[in-house]
Amino acid sequence: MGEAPVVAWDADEAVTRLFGAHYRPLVRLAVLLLGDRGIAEEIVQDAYVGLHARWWRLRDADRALAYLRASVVNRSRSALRHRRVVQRHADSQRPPPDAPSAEAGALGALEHAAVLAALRALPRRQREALVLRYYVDLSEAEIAEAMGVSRGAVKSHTARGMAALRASLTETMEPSP
Amino acid sequence: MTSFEHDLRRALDAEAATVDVRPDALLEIRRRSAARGARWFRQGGAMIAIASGATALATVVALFAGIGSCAPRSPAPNPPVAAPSADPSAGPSTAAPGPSATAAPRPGATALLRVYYLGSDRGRPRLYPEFHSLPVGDGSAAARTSAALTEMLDGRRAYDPDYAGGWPAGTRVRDVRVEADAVVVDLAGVGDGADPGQLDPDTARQAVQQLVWTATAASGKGVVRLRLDGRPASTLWGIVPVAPDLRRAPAADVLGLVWVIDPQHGATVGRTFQVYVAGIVFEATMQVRVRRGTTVVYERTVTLDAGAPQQGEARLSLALEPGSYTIEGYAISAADGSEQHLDDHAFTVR
Repeated sequence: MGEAPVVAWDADEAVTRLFGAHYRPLVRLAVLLLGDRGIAEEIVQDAYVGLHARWWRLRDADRALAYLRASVVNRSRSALRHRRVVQRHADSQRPPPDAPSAEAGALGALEHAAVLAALRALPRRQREALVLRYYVDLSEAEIAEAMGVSRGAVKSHTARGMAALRASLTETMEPSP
Repeated sequence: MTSFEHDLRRALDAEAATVDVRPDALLEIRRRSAARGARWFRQGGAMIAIASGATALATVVALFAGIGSCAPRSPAPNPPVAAPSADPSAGPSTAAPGPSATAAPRPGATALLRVYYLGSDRGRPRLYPEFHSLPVGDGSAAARTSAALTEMLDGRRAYDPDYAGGWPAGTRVRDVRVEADAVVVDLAGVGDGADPGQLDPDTARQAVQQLVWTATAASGKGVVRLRLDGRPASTLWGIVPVAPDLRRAPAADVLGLVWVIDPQHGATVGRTFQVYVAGIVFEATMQVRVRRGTTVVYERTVTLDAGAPQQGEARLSLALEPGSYTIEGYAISAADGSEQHLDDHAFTVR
């Protein structure tokens, strides 16, 4: 079994390679999950340090990437939980942080801002399912693994999230009295 | 794809496109991994190109910066201040550790038992202890050993997410018998090693030592005899020979070189609490640092009661304001000043 086919990278090389291919997308994933970019990079770096420590168990690039994703989702969750306790009231007084920059195009930016604001307002699991599906393009099975839930749960979070998003955006489009 | 899905995708892509990353991120990850005793500093071989680059910069920033792992975990019980004695290379002749030594356990009682898990030091599996409060039935040596091994076999029960189990999922304790000179451990579900990639020879050997150190600590016996499904075992997974009498390998060969024993990961402690560390370190010198987020709130060099190759230990008393902290134990390399063998635990002061 010692001869079983395993990736021959050591932990350092694994981190270097997975960094090159996935670091920026993972930071972007964390920003979308968190709704701001303050600690997104710190969270992803934590995930890579964790990967380095666990490489001797994972020893496989696909499993390592799955670990990184699950770790980013999980750490983002904890960060949000912490922040919600600390800043529940402060946040409700503020406009949504990190509205898209002007580079995205003035008209597009307005629509995007509405979509993102609606996304941030969703329950955490629904937001995770939608971001993993529509930003990372993961399959249902991969989303289930990253979120640590069943595929059935992914299906229902996705469906409910889409319905809620649609409803809330339809509302904002209607002219206010 | 509906146009609504299309809009959502575009909004996410547009938002993501505005996010960029720090240029020094890989260096920072390397620095923090290296502090765990990783191989960025290894000289020679294929890694030398990376190692030399990382060493120069990492040494400069080695003193401060960085963030503890702060991994989310549910809180774990903290062992009483009267923590069990360290379990150094001398072996289990000190009999079973644990505060329950003060009173004979009642039936149905629990005991604080030492359970070894595998963590990574220099990219290799090493043993790290945790104290878990476990039901021990009649409190006999056999019941204690059985409880500790059952806890050990499921690596997910480790409080510290940096630790793991070395045994395949599904391994369980069939029976534990304590004889005059040895503890006899019978396991089921060990498997034949057909699951590739799970166990390399290094990890497999350490898994055996994980069992030996845990079983000897719990039973007070110096010898472990391993049976698989009721029969004496001569090999595990076809790659590790199993001696009839298993004993602890030398501490310097199998243990993590720096341990933060207390506070345990996820523990909650009072404002004044005990720090308990151990290490197999040059000149009996190691470092202890406590962070609150990125701020270092405590840092000192600690002299242990023995130097390498002996495992030394030390206890400190610390007082901190309520809050969330990370405690880090590590050694400083005599060769290049880098931080090595880091063991860290997130904990809370209430």
